[in-house]
Amino acid sequence: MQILIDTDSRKRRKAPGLFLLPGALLAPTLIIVFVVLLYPAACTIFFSLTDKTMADTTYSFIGLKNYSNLFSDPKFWMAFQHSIIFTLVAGSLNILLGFGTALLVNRAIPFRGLFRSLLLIPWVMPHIVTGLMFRWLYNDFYGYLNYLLIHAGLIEKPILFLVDRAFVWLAVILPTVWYEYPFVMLMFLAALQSISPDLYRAAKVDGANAFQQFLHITLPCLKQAFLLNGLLQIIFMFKSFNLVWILTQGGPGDRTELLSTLAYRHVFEGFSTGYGSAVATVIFLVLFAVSIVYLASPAIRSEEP
Amino acid sequence: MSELRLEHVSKRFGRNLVLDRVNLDIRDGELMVILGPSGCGKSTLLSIVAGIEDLDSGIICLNGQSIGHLPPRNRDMAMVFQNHALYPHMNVYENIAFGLRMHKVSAEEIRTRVNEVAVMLEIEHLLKRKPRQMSGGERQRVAMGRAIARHPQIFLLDEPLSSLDAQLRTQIRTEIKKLHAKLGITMVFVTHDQFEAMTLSDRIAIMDRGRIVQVGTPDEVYHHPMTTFVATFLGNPSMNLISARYDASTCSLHLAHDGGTVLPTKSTPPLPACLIGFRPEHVRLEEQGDLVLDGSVDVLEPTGSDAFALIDCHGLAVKARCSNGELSVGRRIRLAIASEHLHVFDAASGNRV
Repeated sequence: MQILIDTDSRKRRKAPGLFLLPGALLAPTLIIVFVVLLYPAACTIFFSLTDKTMADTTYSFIGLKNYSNLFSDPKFWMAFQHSIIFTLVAGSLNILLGFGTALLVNRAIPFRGLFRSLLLIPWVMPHIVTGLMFRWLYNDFYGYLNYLLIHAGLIEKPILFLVDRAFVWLAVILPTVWYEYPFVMLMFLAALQSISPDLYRAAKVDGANAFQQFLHITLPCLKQAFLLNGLLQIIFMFKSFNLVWILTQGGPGDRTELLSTLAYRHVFEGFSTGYGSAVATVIFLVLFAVSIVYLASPAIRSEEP
Repeated sequence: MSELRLEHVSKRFGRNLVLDRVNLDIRDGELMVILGPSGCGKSTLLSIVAGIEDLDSGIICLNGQSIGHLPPRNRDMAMVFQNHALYPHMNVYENIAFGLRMHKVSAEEIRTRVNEVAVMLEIEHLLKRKPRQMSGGERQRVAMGRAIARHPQIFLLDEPLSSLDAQLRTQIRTEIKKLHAKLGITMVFVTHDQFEAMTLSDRIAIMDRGRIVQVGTPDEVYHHPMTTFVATFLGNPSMNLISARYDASTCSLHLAHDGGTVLPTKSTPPLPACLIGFRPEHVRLEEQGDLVLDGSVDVLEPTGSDAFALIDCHGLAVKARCSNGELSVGRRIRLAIASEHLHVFDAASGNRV
């Protein structure tokens, strides 16, 4: 009986301390997540339900009015369409190019380490550097892209890549892929390296040629990597903003307007914070839904160990 | 009929000579074990036979036809790997069928063969499972099944038991032996485990640093080791080796450590220095023998029925096997070894005299 009371009191004394250390260790992360992620996200969603502007400190709750305005706004639907096309084209190119280069640098070629490092350089560069670099590249006076095309006899006068409606999408997607594909390559390279060499040895003994090994060993073993890269590319490309803004700001006119540039324009240029927040919330909801569908899909779940 | 002949097979990895003019004849239906310490080149040899690695020089012949230049798919061999190497995204049926599909066997025939193998190896209930849903022993069986279904001329096994626990290893070892007897197929089995080699093989080829140093039946290599490497590599505890000098005037061997004990010899050619070897189980606690040593028991290691004793004979450590309880630590004893159990090696080359 005596012992029982003793352990009880010890338990009671220990209880508050039980969460102190884990709590203290988790606190910095939780605070950062709250300050830079949860609070701004919550604000955005909240403002999307108000008529807040940048000019006025007072605002009132207007329910889903912003959304109903949004859904009847042809500019919104056009930006939505642009975002989807941009995501599909740039994302697919990133995956194709990233996968291809990963296959190349996974082979036992001379200076493999050097190639791997060099190929990563575009991804390491800040967006602003990449954006400005490509603006110079496209320049009609000084840009060597026009210079090369004219000297090769392909064109007679310079193309205004960032102004010409026929070329501006190409001019935006090119640097996006240039910047993004090394990351995809890195992911595929990691996945390729995790395939046991014995599987290829076994397949060789079983009589598979190089193409059959690729088809029956490499591709199935990379299924997870393809699914993951697919999801990440949808997320990264759909909310892509920096390069487009640096290169065209959504122009010429609204030719390259994406949902992200539309949201920015409304919040910081049109000063209609509420309306812009609604656009941003739509981006969030779309990506959230895609992620849920993706992660719940049988293809992902069936491969879990 | 499937005989395999290797002639002067050599392989280099960079500056490292992994296989040095290897010669080996493997007879039809034989279970040949290639035994050696890790890094001796035995797995490389198997990969070269399978065609996974290219050979630098030499000839590989299957039934008299050179196959050294052929790709693996045309060599008609199947292989079982150390870590099974089952295709993780295929179920057991697909794993077994894969090699047959690659060889364009008809779907009907594939179904028959997979089922036949599944019955033989008692894995019918596993056919729909993925490799990660099975135990180590089940995976090993599937890996064997994948090889058997191919109906290959030669069956190559690269340390197939080393990833299994001790109990399972014994069980699968017995199964492999039964399977070999049943199928009558030529098998080449690579291992570093002498016990596996002795229990499984028809003949053993012992490798050391890229060369085959002796080929023979388990009894031959155990009782007539041709080099000190074979003598000490086989047997646990390993063979005792004692330095000796040859005295031409008396035609006798004198032990180097005390010079006293004399061993008359009839057939030994004159060598300045040699090594006398004898196995621990041939050491008797007797007063009379061809080689007699005095010493005291230093360490005793009981193993149940037996005990291994380390005996200090005036600075010379001698290993002996005795019955448990026969000796005690510190006891002074006399050891005797009969001449038929003595092996004499050239100290310089390590070769049997």
